Amino acid sequence: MEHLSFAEHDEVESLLPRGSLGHASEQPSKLPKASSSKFWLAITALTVVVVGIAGVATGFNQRAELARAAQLRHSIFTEHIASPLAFKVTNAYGEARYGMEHPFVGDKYVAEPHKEITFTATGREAKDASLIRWEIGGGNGLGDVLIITGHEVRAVFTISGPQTVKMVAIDSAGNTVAEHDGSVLAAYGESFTTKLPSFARIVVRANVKSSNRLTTTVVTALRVLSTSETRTSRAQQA
Amino acid sequence: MKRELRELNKHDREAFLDAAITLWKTPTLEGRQLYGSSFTGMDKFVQVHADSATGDVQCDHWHEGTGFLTHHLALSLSFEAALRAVNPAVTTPYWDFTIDGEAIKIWGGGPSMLTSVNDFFTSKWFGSVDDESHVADGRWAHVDAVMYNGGLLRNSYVHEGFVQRARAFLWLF
Repeated sequence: MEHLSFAEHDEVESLLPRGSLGHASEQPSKLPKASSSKFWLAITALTVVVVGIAGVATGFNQRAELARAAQLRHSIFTEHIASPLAFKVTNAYGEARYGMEHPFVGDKYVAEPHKEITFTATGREAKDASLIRWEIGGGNGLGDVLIITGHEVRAVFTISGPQTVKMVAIDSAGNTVAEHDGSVLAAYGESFTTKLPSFARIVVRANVKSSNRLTTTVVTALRVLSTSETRTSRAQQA
Repeated sequence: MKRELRELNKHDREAFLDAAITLWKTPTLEGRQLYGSSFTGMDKFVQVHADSATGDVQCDHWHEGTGFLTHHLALSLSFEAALRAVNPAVTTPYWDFTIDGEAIKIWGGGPSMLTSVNDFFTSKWFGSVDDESHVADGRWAHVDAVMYNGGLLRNSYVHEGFVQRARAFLWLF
């Protein structure tokens, strides 16, 4: 049985990659063992501190968000009581409060397009006013503003996007006793986008049925699209 | 606003069902002339689903994978766009079937009780089914099912062929 000589053993060892098992490393470690431990301890401590700060900051942020949302809900809840003049929006399902947790909805009422909604004047000045004058629509820069009077008015928006609502309470002498500027968001609900086609044209049709305290208003927006014109011509051909 | 089926008032329920049945009864080409380019008939929905999913000889791209949600969500969006082409006041409702599940649980029954704990499968909604599995009443009564791929809603190749190929693949090893 042959045994490797020392010289042969050295040759074999030289073939092994440095740092591999069975190979003695010739270069000493750059850091002493104690220094290396301190280094990793410092890194670990720093990581813990950074993660902790981030976690606390996130918690504060969430708390602030919750507080803001609670404050918003409270302000909305008390709006009709505290404000001298305000309005609420209802539909067939009740008060149209949807998506308040979304910042782009916030304290706005959501008016579903193509569904009749009712604007009702609220607030202490609304009760005493002999006339409420409304300016509805036009908040998206498109279309006309509908001017109508009544303590309760009904409307149908046929386009999506923000719509401004301005109210003026007038007493029996014809003096303005209170004003309120608000807005609603006309949206289907699942997507609160405010994009509108630039080539849209809006026709406002007011169908006013006056009574003492109820006025019915229909706001109609007509989109004139190239496809609809094509559709019309095709229908005519057919 | 998306509402649960049972939350819809009568007016909205009727509007939704009227618009929906229009998609079944109106072919896509005809519907686009009548209602505009966003209209899609059920013939097209079935074709798209069959072509890209069960009708593809390579694999089913739409099911049993991460594409399930996105592809079917796209179908749902197209479906809602088609509904609004017919009636812009309509929004697709959703079905919270946990309500039915909880009712079945309370009654101590099984899945066969599904038609007993709601009225979706009556003429009020989508119609009841007779002994021959035909829709017997309501808007969908006797409406022909949309056929595709040789008369099948799902291509048999996907099921039978897939199993045979899987067995052959495993046999190699």
